[in-house]
Amino acid sequence: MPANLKDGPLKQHSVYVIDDDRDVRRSLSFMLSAAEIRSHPFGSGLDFLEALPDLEPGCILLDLRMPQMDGFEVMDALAERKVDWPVIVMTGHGEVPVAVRAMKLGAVDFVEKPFSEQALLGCFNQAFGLLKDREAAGRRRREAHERAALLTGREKEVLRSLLAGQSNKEIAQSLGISLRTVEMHRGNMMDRLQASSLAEALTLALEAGIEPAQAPAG
Amino acid sequence: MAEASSDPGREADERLRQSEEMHRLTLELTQQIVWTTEADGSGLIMSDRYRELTGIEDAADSADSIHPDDRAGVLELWGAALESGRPFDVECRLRMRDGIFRFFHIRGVPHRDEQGRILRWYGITADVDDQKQAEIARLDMEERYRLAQEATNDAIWDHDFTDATIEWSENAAAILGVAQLRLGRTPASWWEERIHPDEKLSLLRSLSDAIGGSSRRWSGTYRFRRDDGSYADVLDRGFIIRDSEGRAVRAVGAISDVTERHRAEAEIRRMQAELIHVSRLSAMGAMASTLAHELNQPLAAVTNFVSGAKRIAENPEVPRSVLAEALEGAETAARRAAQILRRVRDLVSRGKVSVRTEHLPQLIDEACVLAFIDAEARGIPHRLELDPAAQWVRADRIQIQQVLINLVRNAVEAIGEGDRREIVIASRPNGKMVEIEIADTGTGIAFDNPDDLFSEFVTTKSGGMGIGLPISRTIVEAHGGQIWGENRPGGGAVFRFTLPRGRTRQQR
Repeated sequence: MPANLKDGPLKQHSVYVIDDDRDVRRSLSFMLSAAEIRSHPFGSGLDFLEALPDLEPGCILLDLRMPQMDGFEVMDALAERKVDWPVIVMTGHGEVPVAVRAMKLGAVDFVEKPFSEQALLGCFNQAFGLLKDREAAGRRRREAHERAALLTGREKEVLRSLLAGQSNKEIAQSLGISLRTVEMHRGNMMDRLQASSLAEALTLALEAGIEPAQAPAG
Repeated sequence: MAEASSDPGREADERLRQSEEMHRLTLELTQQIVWTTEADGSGLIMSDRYRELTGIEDAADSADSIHPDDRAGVLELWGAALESGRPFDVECRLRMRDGIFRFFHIRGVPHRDEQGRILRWYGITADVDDQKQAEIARLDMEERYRLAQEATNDAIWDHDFTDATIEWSENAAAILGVAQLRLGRTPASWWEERIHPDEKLSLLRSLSDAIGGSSRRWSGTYRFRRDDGSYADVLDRGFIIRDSEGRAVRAVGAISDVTERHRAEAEIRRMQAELIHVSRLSAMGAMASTLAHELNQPLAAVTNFVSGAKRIAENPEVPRSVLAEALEGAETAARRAAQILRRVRDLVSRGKVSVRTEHLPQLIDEACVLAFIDAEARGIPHRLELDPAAQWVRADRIQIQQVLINLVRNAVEAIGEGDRREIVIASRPNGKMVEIEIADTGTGIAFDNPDDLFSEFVTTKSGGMGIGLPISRTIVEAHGGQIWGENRPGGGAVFRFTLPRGRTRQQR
């Protein structure tokens, strides 16, 4: 695990530290800045959620035991807002069941207080990788949505039928149109999606959340 | 006198007459009755004083005035005197004019001629009732005193200041374990020498102050050396008896040996302290995981600061001031961890119970370190309203912190999730006491009977042992204070307790 992340992908991303303990917040900010990681401290989950709409994607370092709103509630709130930034939770020593519960809620990792710099940076290394992947997936999804939005009704129907594994002939039959017309819609659909192969078009369809067509009756 | 003859007369010597006259006058003046009879007891003549006192006109009836119970005895003795010619001497009750009997002392002697033959009897009858009553009262008192002394385990003493001696009751030797007391009387200095050297000066000073002043009572507690060299804890109480000019002439009093009582009380106090300590341990045990978590916070901060500092130390481009900042942060966090540990150690240590003058705001601050230690409690708004006029209390620091922590934790647990969440810790003077109040906006007290609150093993909390409030009461009452709880009109509960007010040196 690289102890120095200077040249890694981390530099461009922020860490949001959420802990009600001022000393812990200050010390984390200091340690992360010494490791050249940008961090933004928040004294409570509410403060963080309030600022969330204006924040760039980043990793979240979250204390579980906090007054008013604890770490679990913060994770629930993030899920509600469909924010999938990687969350690393901080637990007390020996709180394995608590950590397990957090992992089930989607935390990517946990550290036990007090933790070593190496352990924390190791977690971040993984989390930032994940963040990058999730961001890329997000971008792809947005793109797929944008392209899928360009499809006409017929083109989308053809795509859904293809997703259901139907051949051009079957599609023509179930839609009640000629084979030639199906082929035309299919070509236009491929163009609009900027797909060079059927596999690519189907992947895009899935990323855009397009459902397969129902199998024709009989 | 009883066998009075109706024939007085006869010849009398002129000188005798004169002498008799003088006697008569003397006796009139001294209120005594003079009488005379023939050699055989007949022909009783009595002075006028007799008639005045008894109302009996004829001396011949004088036997009637003797109390019926005494009459036979008196007449028998008179008869015997006449027969033997020895002086007649008797005490008896005579009936006065108003029907009341008084004690009289009757004495008679025979007057003889040169041959030794009895010529006449002469006598005087004196009112001794006052002396007699005093004597009876004295005997009565002595009897009562003896009984009282037998009934108590007190050694009774009578300190005579005029000759600096002390007379001791018979049981004193046994009670005080000192053989010499059987002698009954000792010099006062002997008693003084037996007082424990540490207490002797102040005790003797208090006694001499009492004697020199105008007080009627004196008391003191001290250790008194037994023959075997051990000391008895004694409580000594006495009355000072003064003459008409107010000078103390003697004092009488009682010493009780309270060694056993003191030992039993000390044992109760020891067991109480032990119970309080154990309850503290169990409270700390219940908080252990919370404490571990809260200790991890500053430890995590220290670790983070040091990790960062290490990295910066390797990088010459970063200014040194950044390093100093990190180390300062680490220091602050380490101190915080140390403070938590100190509070915990104080509470679990089996310290000697010692009541001192303590600064109440500091006690409350220290208790709040643990009472508001966890995240949940820290999230509850709380404020202090401490009256500067109630800053000093007489208290055992640890035990009172235990009470404060217990009451604040109860408030934290009761406060729930309502809109209005607040805990207020207040203090104010209340006469010779200081009142401390912990008020919350929680669910209030569920017990119908407020006394149940402080009963052992009564709890409405699901996980509670029901031992916090009884222990708090034990502690507060051992301090001479009181504790009580009630619901607030606007919702929530308030617990109050009092402690004796302390004085700082300046105030003294």
